[in-house]
Amino acid sequence: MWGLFNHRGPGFPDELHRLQREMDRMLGRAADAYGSCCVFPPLNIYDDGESYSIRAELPGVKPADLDVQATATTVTIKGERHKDARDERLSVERRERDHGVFNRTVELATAIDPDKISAKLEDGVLVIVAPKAADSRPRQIKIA
Amino acid sequence: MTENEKKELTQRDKEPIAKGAGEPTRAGLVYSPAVDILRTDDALTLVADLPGVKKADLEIGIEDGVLTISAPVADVEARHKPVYREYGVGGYVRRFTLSDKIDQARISAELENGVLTVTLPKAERLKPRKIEVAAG
Repeated sequence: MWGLFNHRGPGFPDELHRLQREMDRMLGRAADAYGSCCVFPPLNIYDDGESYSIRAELPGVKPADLDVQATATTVTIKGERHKDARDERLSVERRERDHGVFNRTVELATAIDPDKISAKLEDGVLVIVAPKAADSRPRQIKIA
Repeated sequence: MTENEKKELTQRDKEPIAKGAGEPTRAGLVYSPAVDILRTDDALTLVADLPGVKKADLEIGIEDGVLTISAPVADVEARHKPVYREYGVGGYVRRFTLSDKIDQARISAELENGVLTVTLPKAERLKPRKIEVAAG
């Protein structure tokens, strides 16, 4: 099973909240009542057998604003999305983009090699590639 | 403000645009990007979050006074198997009706780190002018 949670604060209820809304959507109920509730950034995780890649949409976030840390089974993404400097000078007609700090930890199902993790920002998307630890990769068993 | 007092960022839901009016011709999901609009005396500035969009794929067009921003996003899920998913991946489309106060010939755009900035200058004749009052 996937364990995905925030180490800090009300991460677990947030995940439940997300699940609740997902169910509401499936059942055709209005999800708007929940407003903006959910942990940032949302993550997608892919597995190609050899490694995990964790992707998060972080438009406008620069590498200097990000702190990515890893252990043998967890990856933590911390950072801040800064307020647009132009906001101070210009009057705001419409405001949909948000700013603030974020901190999320993902627990992975299989051990990874924290020394071999790479992370890059591509067009506002954070891509973390975490190779699985050598002894947790799937192996083909020969049948005698 | 110290680090601890900073506002925690929450996620706005990324809802795909419903099929129906103006259905996209490309296959795949299309999202409406979050947009800020800022105003000065000289121009309107439109700032849109377009994570994953490459400059070469971005299309900005004006037709009949409607500004259309559209951009496809490469489908990573065609190559990778998702094991956990919290957001959908797809292109972006959003339209804005421009007033004729905008000088459409001088619109400029810039894409950086997944954030698009479009500057819509006001037509010269409509800029506020300071009128000097002559002493009489």
